[in-house]
Amino acid sequence: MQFKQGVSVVTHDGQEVGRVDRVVIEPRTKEVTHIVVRQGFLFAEDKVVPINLIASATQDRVTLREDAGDLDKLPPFQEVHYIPLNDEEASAAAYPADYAPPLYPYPPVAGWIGYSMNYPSYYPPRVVDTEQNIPDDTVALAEGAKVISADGEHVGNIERVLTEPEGDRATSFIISQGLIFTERKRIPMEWVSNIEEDTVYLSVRAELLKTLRAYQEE
Amino acid sequence: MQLDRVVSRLPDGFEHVCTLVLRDFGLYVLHTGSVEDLPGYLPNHTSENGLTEIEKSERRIEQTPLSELAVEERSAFVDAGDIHDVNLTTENLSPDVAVPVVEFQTSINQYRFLFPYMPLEQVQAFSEALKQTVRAAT
Repeated sequence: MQFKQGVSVVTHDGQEVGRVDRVVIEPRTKEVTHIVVRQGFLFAEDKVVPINLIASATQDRVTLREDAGDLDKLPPFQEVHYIPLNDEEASAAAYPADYAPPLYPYPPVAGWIGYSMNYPSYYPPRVVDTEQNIPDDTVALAEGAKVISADGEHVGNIERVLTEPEGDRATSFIISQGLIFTERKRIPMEWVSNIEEDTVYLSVRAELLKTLRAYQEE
Repeated sequence: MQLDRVVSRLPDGFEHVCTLVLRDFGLYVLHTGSVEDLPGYLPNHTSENGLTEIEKSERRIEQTPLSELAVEERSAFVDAGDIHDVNLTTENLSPDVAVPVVEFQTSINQYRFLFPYMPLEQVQAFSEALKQTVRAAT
């Protein structure tokens, strides 16, 4: 299987439900556990789809299994929690404790300029906590994540992740051409030392990557 | 799959000793020493070092990431997707000594490996494994 960011995700009967946005991978075992599917455009919502709900994944599309069910019922990739401040935190905030927190958003949108000049710049006392609905110890590899060689060279960006034919373990990934290479390269997972959301670190120097042949579509 | 004390013969005829390590994405060719240190390989030649230097290099392979060794002088990594025409044959080192040989081509190089200390069956297994790896990668 291969997971190329941006390709269509379709149901078993061919209905498009979104596009691949991220590949969730366990950096230690290199196992792909989920993909993040972006639904919609203007009001996009990202859903976390377990790998066992995927029937096939090619360079053109990811097809869900017949029993995948309704994607809307799957958890969102990120959940934002608004947590009220406790008393101590509230008293440290920039308004009197008995002052009713304003219900309007701050900063005001354009056109509310006069309004903002007449009122103090208070905002609701809450902290925002963003939680990712993916397993502990996994990383949601972002589209176009940078790939850095052992000697610190930015050798390309992640274009897709390939797994073994019968299994979920990632075997290699394709990097786009960039300043260092004029063609795309297929890099074995064995050469990956660490994976973060936006960056993949290699254990090999850029020099060795030059020995890899240019990747060609099958 | 790892094979030690293999003789790599370059297209210009230069020979050196290497260890071959086959992975599912390619072949590491890791330089381990001079053919002068291989007992009995060169006729009428007695090694000063014996296998000491080669053994030292082989121990490094156990302790060092292969990708680090592959960028050293005379070592290489060969992408499985770039290998073609894998061929198993034999070569007579002398009228009564024939050794197994595996050769293949890449887009830029020609590789020829001689296996003076290895039984033919083991080299056959390596050759088959290499072909299978190449098939899977292309």
